[in-house]
Amino acid sequence: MQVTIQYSGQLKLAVGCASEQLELPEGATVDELVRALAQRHDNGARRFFVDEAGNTQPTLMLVVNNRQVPAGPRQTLADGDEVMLLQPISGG
Amino acid sequence: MNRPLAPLTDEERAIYEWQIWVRDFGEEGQQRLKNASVMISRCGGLGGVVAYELAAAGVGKLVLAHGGCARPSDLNRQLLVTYESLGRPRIETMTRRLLDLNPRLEIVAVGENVNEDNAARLVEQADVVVDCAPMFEERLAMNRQAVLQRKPLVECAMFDLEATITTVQPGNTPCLACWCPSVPPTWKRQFPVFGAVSGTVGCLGAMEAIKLIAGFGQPLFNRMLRLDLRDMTTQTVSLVRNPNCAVCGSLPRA
Repeated sequence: MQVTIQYSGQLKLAVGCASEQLELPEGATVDELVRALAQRHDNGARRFFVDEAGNTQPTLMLVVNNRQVPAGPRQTLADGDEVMLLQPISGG
Repeated sequence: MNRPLAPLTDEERAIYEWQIWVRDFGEEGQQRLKNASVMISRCGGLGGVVAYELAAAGVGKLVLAHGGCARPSDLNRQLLVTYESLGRPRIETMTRRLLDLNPRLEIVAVGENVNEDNAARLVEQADVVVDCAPMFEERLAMNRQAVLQRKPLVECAMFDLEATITTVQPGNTPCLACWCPSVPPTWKRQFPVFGAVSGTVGCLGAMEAIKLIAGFGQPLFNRMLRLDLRDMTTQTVSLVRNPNCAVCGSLPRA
């Protein structure tokens, strides 16, 4: 199945694009998506996606079809899903 | 905010005439603003605009926290800072600029940024809190206190040409820590931004505070509005409480 990933904030700059598409096995979870992206962007942007243990960064907001979803193995994706990864931003 | 409301003076009726005409707001809404207090964490590019709009709208009391002295790099976005004030404490200039606009305004000016030691005292003085700080340590301390004291909290943020805003109603909506439980490890203190971006989200934050105080409209509860001024797109994201949130997870619905 294919999902579309959209990036924002510092993450968009780190990966060098605003959006991209990714092929995933049927029934893949958001955690598996994040790990796949960490691997794809291993050169510089890995820390945005996963912590040192390889788990989804707890501060990475995962939004599937405009709904925030918790990270975890039970949250599955479907073909055509649009996934936005929001890195928290601040004021100043 | 159920205390008796001091009435408007004739001068105030004249000054706020155009907004008193707003549907669902009226003179009672204006009285609520007059009798309300708002705490703003940092009054820079973002919070300075929140403060200016709330001073213009007739909020009775502002509690402002902002440390340090004005620097040249403030001037592209921090509209309460002036060229003449460079090198001087920002909070002094901010206070003067706000009183120039609204001399009836009561200001509690604190020349330091929010931290774990002062957050409780600052939040205690306010009906509504608006978080505009750049450091996540400040934002998380403010959020913790807002949740503990059950005060609504408007969360404003920006980066480059992007902005996000959401409003926390402790117990009923996710708090900041539900989706940002710790300082993001990749966050950088200095980041690209235009003053027009901070000003945009500052105006939205002020409008959220006005709606919360006056009790009309639909604040951004359980929703995050995301703006990208680069292509002028908007997105509304549905947010969910995190039942395992260390700050609000055990809080019953209000």
